[in-house]
Amino acid sequence: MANMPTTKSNPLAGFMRQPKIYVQLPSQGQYWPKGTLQMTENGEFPVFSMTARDELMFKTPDALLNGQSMVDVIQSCVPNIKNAWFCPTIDLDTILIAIRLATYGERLPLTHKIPNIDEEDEHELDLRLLLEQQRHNIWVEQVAISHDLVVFVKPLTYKHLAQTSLKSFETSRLLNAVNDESTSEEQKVAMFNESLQNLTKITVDLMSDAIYKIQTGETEVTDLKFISEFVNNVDKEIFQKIQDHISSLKERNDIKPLTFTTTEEQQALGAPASYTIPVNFNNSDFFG
Amino acid sequence: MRLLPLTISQIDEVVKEMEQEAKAIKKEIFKLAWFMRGSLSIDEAYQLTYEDREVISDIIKENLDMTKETGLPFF
Repeated sequence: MANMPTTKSNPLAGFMRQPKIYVQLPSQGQYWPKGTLQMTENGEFPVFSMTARDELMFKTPDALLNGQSMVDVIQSCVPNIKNAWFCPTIDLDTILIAIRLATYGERLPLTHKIPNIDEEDEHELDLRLLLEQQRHNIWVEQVAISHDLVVFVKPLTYKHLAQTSLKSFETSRLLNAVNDESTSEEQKVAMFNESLQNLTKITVDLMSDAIYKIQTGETEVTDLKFISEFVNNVDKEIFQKIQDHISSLKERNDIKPLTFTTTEEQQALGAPASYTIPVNFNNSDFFG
Repeated sequence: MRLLPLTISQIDEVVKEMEQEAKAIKKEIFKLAWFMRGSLSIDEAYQLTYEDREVISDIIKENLDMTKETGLPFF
């Protein structure tokens, strides 16, 4: 009988964290660069609870701002993810919901203010339902601009998202400085122009990062330098068409806001009959 | 991401809030290690999950209550 390959298991394994749940990623592992995700046989990935050390990472403001804490916690809780900076954004919410669920359980308490009146409402969200919704996230790569021009887009990575957020943050700081009374008019104009240029650059850069291939007739362009040049010089209509396509996918995949109805008493005080509350996964609220 | 629309003073508040929360977690960790009387190192305590910490806290509370009820010395 041929010798079967044996895997030496770690004798300390029984003392280690055990996976709490298994999740499928909406991307099915697509869009993850080679070496950043270790695939499993059945496409389901084990998710572990956060440790106290992980929880502390989410309480480190600087690491939160530059995205490092998110990356460290994801890699700690989903060990198959080897480099979370390259996590496609369509998988991000699924991973975060799964980590929250594995750590604190399936119920997410939400407190929100009822519009127009000084009252708060409490609600519990079932994260299992949210996770199920996320499984139906889709990505459509092709944007047909014309019969001989097709643009192929991929989801952005967490790295793009973190960099963009940081740039937006710096720009909004700059815009705040414009309103400062001690700044001269000349400086204000210069700062305003700089912010505007930054914002335009962010939009154009995001678009360039999202496009990975352009097909024109029989020719396929994959050189990122050419793609970047195309995005920087393309006419507004084409740019808008690509942007609309990405925005519609984002809107479709985003977690839908929750709709609440109010009582007659609350309506008498000025509250609307119904209102919506966005579900945000900011670290402070979501990870308690 | 939530810091984006905030003013400097609001960011300052969020940072202080986080510092307090981090301190609370550290205090819990050190408390667990102290009550476990050397059977749990600080490093091991940092590796505990939220659920593990809840379970150990419950055991500690049960032991403290039992000690009080029986009048046996605890410290």
